[in-house]
Amino acid sequence: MFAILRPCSVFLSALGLLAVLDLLFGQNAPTKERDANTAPQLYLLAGTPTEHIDKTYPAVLYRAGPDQKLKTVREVVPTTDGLHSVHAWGSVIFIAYPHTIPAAVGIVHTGDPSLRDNLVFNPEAYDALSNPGGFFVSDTRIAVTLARGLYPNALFPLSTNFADPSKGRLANVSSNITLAGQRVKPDGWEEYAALRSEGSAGGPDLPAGLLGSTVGNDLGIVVSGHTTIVAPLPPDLRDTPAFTPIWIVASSADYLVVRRNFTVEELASGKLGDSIQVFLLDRNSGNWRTLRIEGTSSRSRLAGNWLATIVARWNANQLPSPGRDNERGVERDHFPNVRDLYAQFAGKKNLTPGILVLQNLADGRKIRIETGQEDSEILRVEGDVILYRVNDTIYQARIDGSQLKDTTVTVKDEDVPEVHWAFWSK
Amino acid sequence: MPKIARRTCFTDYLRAVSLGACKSNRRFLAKFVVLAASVLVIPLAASAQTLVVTSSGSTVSQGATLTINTVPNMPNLVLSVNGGSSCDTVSYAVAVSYSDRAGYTTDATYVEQDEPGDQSVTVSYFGVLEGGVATVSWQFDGVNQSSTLGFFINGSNPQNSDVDAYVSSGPWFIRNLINHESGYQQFDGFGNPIWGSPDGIGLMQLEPPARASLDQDFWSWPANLADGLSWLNNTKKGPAYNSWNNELQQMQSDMAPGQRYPPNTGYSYCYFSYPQNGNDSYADGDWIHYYNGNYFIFWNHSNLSWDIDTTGYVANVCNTPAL
Repeated sequence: MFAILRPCSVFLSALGLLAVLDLLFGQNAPTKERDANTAPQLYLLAGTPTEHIDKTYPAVLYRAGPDQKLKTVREVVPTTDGLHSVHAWGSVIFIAYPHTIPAAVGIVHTGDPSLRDNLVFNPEAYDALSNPGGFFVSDTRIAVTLARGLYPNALFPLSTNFADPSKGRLANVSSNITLAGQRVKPDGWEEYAALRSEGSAGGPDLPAGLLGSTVGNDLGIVVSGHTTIVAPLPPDLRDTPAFTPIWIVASSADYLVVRRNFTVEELASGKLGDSIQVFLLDRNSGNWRTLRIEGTSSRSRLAGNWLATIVARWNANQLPSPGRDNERGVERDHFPNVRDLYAQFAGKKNLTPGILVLQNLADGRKIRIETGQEDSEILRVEGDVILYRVNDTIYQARIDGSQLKDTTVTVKDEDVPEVHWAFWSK
Repeated sequence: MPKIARRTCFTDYLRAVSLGACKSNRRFLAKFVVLAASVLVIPLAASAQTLVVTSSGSTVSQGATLTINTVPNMPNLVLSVNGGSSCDTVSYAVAVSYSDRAGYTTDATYVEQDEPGDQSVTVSYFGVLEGGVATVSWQFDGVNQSSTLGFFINGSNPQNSDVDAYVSSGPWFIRNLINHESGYQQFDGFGNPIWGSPDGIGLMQLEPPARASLDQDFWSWPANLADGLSWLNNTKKGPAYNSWNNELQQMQSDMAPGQRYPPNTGYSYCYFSYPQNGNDSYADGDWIHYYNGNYFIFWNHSNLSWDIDTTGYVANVCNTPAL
């Protein structure tokens, strides 16, 4: 007996088939394309601080495109102002501007990168011609703190004359956008006790760093007559004269890394060898230990348990570092002459051989990346993923034990040499 | 209008001829004479005019060189046409063009339009100075003429005393700076604007965007000096003074309660110190260096020491005498 297929039966069957197909391949089905829309994207902040020269460049936030090119998200600081300094911690990046004496800060919230958030913290900034009685900012005491819980603040010490303790004040900038008109407050010196610092980024600029002082047997931040104790000094640095400069290499909830200052004479003497000793406070145990960092004038950056270092050595003869010829050698549009800037600043008295070192402060692992290029740096370490830059190219790799594996090119573009900060965000 | 005036002149002539023929009652002959005259006269009239160019009474020949004087004024140029009449009109165009080693071109065209054909005209420059290759072209009764005249216009350098007088209100180092930049020369040995790498022009070796007067910065030495002074005073002084004072404060902040003053830095014509004590200010040192770009002195946080560009631009300027 044959079944006669009525037209309506065929129609209903077709509908059913279509429904099944839609379920499998339609909009409601989990697809790779749909996952890509909600997957975290890589954001890259490009900017070259130029405090010491009369040239200015913008700070621009980019997104890494699927074509390995930079896609502009927004300009954070315009070319006309230029950058003074960048301080990043957690979910916030503070970009101070204008370039010589900062008066305002552009804030990048990594949870909402498109949000434009600019605040004036130094409305009476010094100007030789229009405001000679105005306020300067102490470069080496700008710090991010977590004194107010989840929202990082930035502390900017101001003074009309840092030689006179009575002339100082503090601008305390909150990253909490819900505070509306109350985000810049005076004072709050005690917040230095909860300072956070990722350390120094790469690039041709000479970052100011964060300068502490010996206060008895403690490490303190001392500025404009205000002293805030940060931590007890490591045993080897106790009993040093008061106000001996101590550099705070990095500071997190888990670690505090410090080193003593080296004079030009010490660096030039050659007696420091090929590495320097730094002091590491494990905040969880409260114990200090020492660590050696390769190079005598290296720059380090903290990411979780990893201390990432751009190795550099004192360069008495001011020889050009390897890879100098591969750096951008002309000023173009809003891009600096990177080669010139290295020759004047980061590469003038520092020979940077293109060696990046990752040291795990928890388990002692060490990974060495030899790029052979002066203009290279580690941008970020998150979990077992590392991003590092060599000239105009950003690489992503996976940390596997003491090795890097699965290295791929993430971005290669003209403005990549200015990228020194990276984060993922949805 | 000129064409109408021409027909009036020419038909009067033809009428006079035909009247003469009519008086002899030989109309056919009269018409032939008029026709013959029109055939003969027009070509003869077209080939009779020539361009005449003089400067201060002397004929300017092909390939000659005229000079912008030290005042500065453009060379006197008088244009006329031989064989033109009051019924004719002549238009002149003097095109001047120059390209420097960087490929930048200065140019201008001076036009004298619809002048009577029997009159000379002195070219009006309206204060715009231009040099280089000059070409005079002309129209006669609205027709472009194939003959032109080509010559050169170059510049002449002012006296050192004129330069000094012009910049007397400038900063104390201005004459040293000018001598270092150009040796007090606006023009080279060929009378062309002196050019220096990477792309500087004239006495102050102006580069864009300091060339506010554009072509005049090439051919007018006062314009070059004025724009250089403006660049120094209005664009560089403030940032330079801000920079020095900021660097001083950074030292104060890092070294407090102590101090670490910069070492004195001396040259043949400058001596910088802090405290100043009657010497030259480091702020002015930065001001000098900013004219060429970048820093003279900054406080290096990394080593808690002063970084001074002792052998760079400031040394060059401060070791060069004023003239």
